[in-house]
Amino acid sequence: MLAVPPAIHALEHWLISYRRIWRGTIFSTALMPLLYFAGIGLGVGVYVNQARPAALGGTSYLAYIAPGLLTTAAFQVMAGEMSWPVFAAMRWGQQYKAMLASPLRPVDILSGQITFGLLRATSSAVAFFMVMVLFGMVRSPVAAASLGAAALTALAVSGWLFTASVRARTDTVMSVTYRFGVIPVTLFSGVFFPVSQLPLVIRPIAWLSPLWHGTELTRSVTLGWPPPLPPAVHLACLLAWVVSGLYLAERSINRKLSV
Amino acid sequence: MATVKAVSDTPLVFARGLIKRFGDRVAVDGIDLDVRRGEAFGFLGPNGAGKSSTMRMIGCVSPPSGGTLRVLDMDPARQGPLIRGRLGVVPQEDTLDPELTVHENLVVYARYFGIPYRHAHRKAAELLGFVQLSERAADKVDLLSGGMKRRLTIARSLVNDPELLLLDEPTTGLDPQARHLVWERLFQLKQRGVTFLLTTHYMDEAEQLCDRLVILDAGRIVATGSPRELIERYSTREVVELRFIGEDLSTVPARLDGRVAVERAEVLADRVLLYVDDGDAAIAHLHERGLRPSGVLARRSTLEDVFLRLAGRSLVD
Repeated sequence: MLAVPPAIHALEHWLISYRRIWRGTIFSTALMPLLYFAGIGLGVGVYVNQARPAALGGTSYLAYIAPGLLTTAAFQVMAGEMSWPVFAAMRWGQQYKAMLASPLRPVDILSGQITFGLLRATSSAVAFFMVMVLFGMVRSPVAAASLGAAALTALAVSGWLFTASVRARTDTVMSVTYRFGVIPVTLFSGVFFPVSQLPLVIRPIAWLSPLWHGTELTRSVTLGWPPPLPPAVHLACLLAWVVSGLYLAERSINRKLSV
Repeated sequence: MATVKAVSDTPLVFARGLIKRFGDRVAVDGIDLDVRRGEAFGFLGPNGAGKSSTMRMIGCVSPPSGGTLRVLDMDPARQGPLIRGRLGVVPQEDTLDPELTVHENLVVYARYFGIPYRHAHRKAAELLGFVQLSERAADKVDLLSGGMKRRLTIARSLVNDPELLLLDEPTTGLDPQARHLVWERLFQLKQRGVTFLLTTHYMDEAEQLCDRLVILDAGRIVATGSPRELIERYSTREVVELRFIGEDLSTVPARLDGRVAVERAEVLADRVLLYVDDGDAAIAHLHERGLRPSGVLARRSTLEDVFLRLAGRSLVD
């Protein structure tokens, strides 16, 4: 019989907790893409399409932002899962300490938490994808690869945000991370407008953003456009974020739990 | 003819010169331990004596800073997960999951040990019966009282049928009735032959539950033995407690002449303790000497008196 990796047992904890709240999150997961599509895609979109019909190479504004929104959904859900839940499990509910009294190691606890975040993030991307299908924006099966790119984007930020939350002494770190990390990244990563619109000075910052790399990949597979950089470079940048973040996260949880 | 013992003599916990440092602060300062199978072993000491640090090292969640430690004849540094799989832990602070129900808390915890779901559900139901919480199985943990949460934590620590149970201050913060309920359950476990290690700063808890204990002060072991042995070794049979209103307590010992054998007198902030063999005789003598205390109590010596003798202050601040 194959032994189940211990991290799965840590994941089970989050899945069992999630059973109590899944109805509420399903509603918001499905509603969020619809609201975005209606509000920004259709509202702002009509304005953009009328003012500069050729600006997006003939593509509607809604079709332009949809892949970015899909990636953003995965990114933001992961950011949410890596903030309060991690801080609370470390400081308030002490779930990590309870896990540590069992055969689970800190790295198993970390893996369980991140896997759960990844499941949540990917399911949000799937919800977005389904709405895109409904709106007739998915024309090729290749577009399904956008789910992989979105998941990778979520994974790219998971370790970094986990590290911030597990190290945080007070809960203000969560709101600061959201206000000065998650929101600016969402706004300036080429989701709503091409990064080339940004002043040259701040453009390199956008190039670092994992959400930019993820958005360009999803946009490329959904619209069939060539990405600004070779796909392998976008992927490599995302992988660099993944590896560095997970390395930091493992170090942090080891240090925090083994004192 | 020489006989061979069937049960291994290897102690479940073996420590020599065990040290734990946090930066410059030494929390555990070179202690030696041998905890044998079937034993109820206690760590008695005031807050900050190093009890919890020792417990966390034995629980394989805190690496020792020095010395030798073996738990279940394994090395905590290399075999931590393996050892933890065979331990039961009741931590000092509440680590129950407030989002889950009472039953779910046990099942989820059992899963951490890789116990199959079907067995975990059965075990959870059985353990809730043992700690008298069966009727609360479907309630969220938040709705439980402090005493119930402690009992649930004890039930949780038993899901994997541990060979060694670690209880860190199991009744701190509970009201007397809740404490007695916890003691009752622990006593039953003891009768079943469960080996446990318990830290406490309540001397009555140590006396009731422990076969053998160490008294810790400032990270060092100051005495080892059974509760009875420690009392016999470090205290007298009886103690007379005297309270006075408006008198300088420090002059009281000097006002007693030598007719009653007061082995030792301790002057505390609110009372004077006289260590004697016969409390009633000592009280009669006090009255003859014209001493008029506002309160008099003759009682048997306890571990509190042992600690006072060894550390020069009370267990509970």
